[in-house]
Amino acid sequence: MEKKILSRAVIYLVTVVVICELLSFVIPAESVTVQKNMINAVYARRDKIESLAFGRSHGGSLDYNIWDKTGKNLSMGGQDIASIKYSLDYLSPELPHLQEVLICISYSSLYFDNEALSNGNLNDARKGLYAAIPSYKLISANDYNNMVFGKLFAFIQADYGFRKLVKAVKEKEEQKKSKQVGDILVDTAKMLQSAKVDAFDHSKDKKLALQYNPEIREQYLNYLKEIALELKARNVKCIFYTPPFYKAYTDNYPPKDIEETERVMTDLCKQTGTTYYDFSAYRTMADNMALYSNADHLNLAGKEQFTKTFKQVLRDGKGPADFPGLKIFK
Amino acid sequence: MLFNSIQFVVFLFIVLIVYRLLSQKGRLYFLLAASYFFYACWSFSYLGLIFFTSSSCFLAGLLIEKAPDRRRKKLFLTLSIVINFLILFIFKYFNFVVQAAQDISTYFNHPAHFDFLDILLPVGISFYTFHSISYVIDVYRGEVQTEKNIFRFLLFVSFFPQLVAGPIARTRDLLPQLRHLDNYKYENFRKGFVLIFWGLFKKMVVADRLAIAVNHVYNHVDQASSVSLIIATIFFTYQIYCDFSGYSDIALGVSKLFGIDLMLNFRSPYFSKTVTEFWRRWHISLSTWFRDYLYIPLGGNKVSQGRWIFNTVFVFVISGLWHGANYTFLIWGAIHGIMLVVERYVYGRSIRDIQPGVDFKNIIRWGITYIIVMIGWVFFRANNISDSFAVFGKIFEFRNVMPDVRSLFVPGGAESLIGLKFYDFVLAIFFILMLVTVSFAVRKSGIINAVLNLSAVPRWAFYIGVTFLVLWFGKFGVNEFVYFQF
Repeated sequence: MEKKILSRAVIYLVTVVVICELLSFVIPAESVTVQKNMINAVYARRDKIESLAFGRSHGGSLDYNIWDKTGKNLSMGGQDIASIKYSLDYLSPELPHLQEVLICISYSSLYFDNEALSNGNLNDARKGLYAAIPSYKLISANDYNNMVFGKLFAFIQADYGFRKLVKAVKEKEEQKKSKQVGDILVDTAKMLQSAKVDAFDHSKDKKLALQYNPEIREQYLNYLKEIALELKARNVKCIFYTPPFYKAYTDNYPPKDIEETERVMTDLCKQTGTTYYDFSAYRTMADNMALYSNADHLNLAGKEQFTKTFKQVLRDGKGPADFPGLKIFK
Repeated sequence: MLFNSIQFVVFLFIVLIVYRLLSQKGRLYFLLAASYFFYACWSFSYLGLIFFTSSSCFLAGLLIEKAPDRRRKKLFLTLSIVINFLILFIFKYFNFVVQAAQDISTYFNHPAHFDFLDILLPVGISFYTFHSISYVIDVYRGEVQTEKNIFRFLLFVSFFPQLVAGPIARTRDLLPQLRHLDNYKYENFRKGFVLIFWGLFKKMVVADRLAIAVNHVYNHVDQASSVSLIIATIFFTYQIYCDFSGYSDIALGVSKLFGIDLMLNFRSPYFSKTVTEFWRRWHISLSTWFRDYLYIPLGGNKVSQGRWIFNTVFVFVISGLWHGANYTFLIWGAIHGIMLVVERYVYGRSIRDIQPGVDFKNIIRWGITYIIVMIGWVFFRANNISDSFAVFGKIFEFRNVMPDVRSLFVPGGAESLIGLKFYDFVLAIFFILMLVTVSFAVRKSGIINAVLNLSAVPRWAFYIGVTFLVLWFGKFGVNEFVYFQF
């Protein structure tokens, strides 16, 4: 009887794995490979890397083509602090010449967690990270589904094939309706001009409310503290920053949340001996709509200008006197 | 530890292997340890409570057997029932009664304040309390042999596949099986896995997808529209069915792997042509429990008409309260009880003679039954009584129906209306249709026979197909089964 059960179990597993491999061959697992490629790119240049950057989508504002140190920007839409800690735990000991780590703090960084974002689905960002990093530690307590699917079935990409199909159909529709796409761009511009920006406000938006997890803040602050202290022990500088946002975005964001972010970051900097550079209200850039692709994301020109400015602040010791609106917390 | 979690897969795998390697006696102790470990994963601190409930019923069984006369037997039975229902009352109903007392005093303009108990509801308490009490009653009635081995009895109450959400096994069905833990057959594995696969599909692909829309709408009834409430209410009928029957399927399947048969809990309830028939097909282990241990002792239908009406409605109200300490469950139970009475007057004795089959009359009967059941589900799902009435109010307003229906097909429209992305919404409808079609096709044979009678290729297509449906379309978050709260 055992032989029978075992043989059927083997047939079942082999069939599932073969189908998965075939699917993986036909539809490469994009979200997993993106993360894998990023981590592998760092690993491949591990003897040269001097700087790393992390953060949510806002972290993409730092352009390493302009930065004065060899580095890699590992920021990703929806990347939470737990994932940054997980990546750094693995990467920092592997990089002998690492001199600095830049962590982008969005207003939402301290209460948005990737597990809540998944809303019942496997989380691609988490799954990709598990697939990319050879560690079997969980990023957070209830994350085992993402880990198992990242580690063992990274090639499956669960519903990836279906979503890719939907995306392709959508893109086709959008191409047909290019006029409507034009309208949307015009609307964005209008929205920016009129300062009516729907900021990341969990109190107004049901969907955001689902992703809002205020209980996680203490844990995240502890992670940031651990990151800073561990890096300090390795003589690596930990730098926190917030990039410029278009003024309407900041104006519409609940002031309480902004003040709270400033307060906890000030405390964190005092405790860890680090510095937090807040460019969110840096006037020259916050007033210039031409530097943004939307209210809170810089476009290419914006990224270039911000990176140059940040470099001047960090390397040449310039400050709020030279860049009005910039706030520095130590 | 949820049935649809990776931890449970690992747990089950280890338990099955060790179980196979042990002797019969060893299996008993090991299954008991595994069941207590399973429950401890939910709540370590409440392990003592389940142990107390089980051991008090075990002791009551022995005392009843040894009691020299009927009067003392009755005394031990009463004591056992009172103790166990008292525990259930404290943990589940005390705060409800306090709230009700406050509501009543406020209604009569003499607001009074009573303190609530700050305690958590132990998972599955209603299930294992009923399970244990049925044993004591069976012993009192002389219907079953008294269990002398306390370990076996503890396992009878805590057997992990049915511990937290049933089915509520009967003593005469389960206890004898636990005396011979050697029914380890390949055939059981085949049957068990068919049920597990089918249960996982129902839970992870259908129920958890529908739950997103239902929670989105029912948790914000004030912001919901007619269309979103209609969709969410229809979705809930399938969510609750797939969630609970999915759990029962997995429980039956897992139990079968150990060679133990549990009671069938669902038989395609939505194909019922009357509410009376619905209750012969829905949560069968609970409805038969109430029939055998409450309805019949109250006199059943062998009483005057007035008393019969009271008995029927009373049993259903209690059954509603069994689900939860809330007015919504009470009304839900009352609706079903009243409908059973109404049907008796509409159909008379001929209710038993309604022939199965798809004809015009049956389709009308089915439609009416489905709508009545759906109305009941509104009370069952709503967060409170005012929300339930708000749901009906808003549904029948029929405001903005066409614009809302059109908005479902606009990018982002479905998500803002029912909280589901458009493709998830389409998938939800597709999977409901798939479920209904399969359930209809296998309504006579059952899913096990339907699959196992297939030839090798389609049978394996079922296994692999369901696996990929779950992998691609399943929801992998921590989604508890709805019935765990009871």
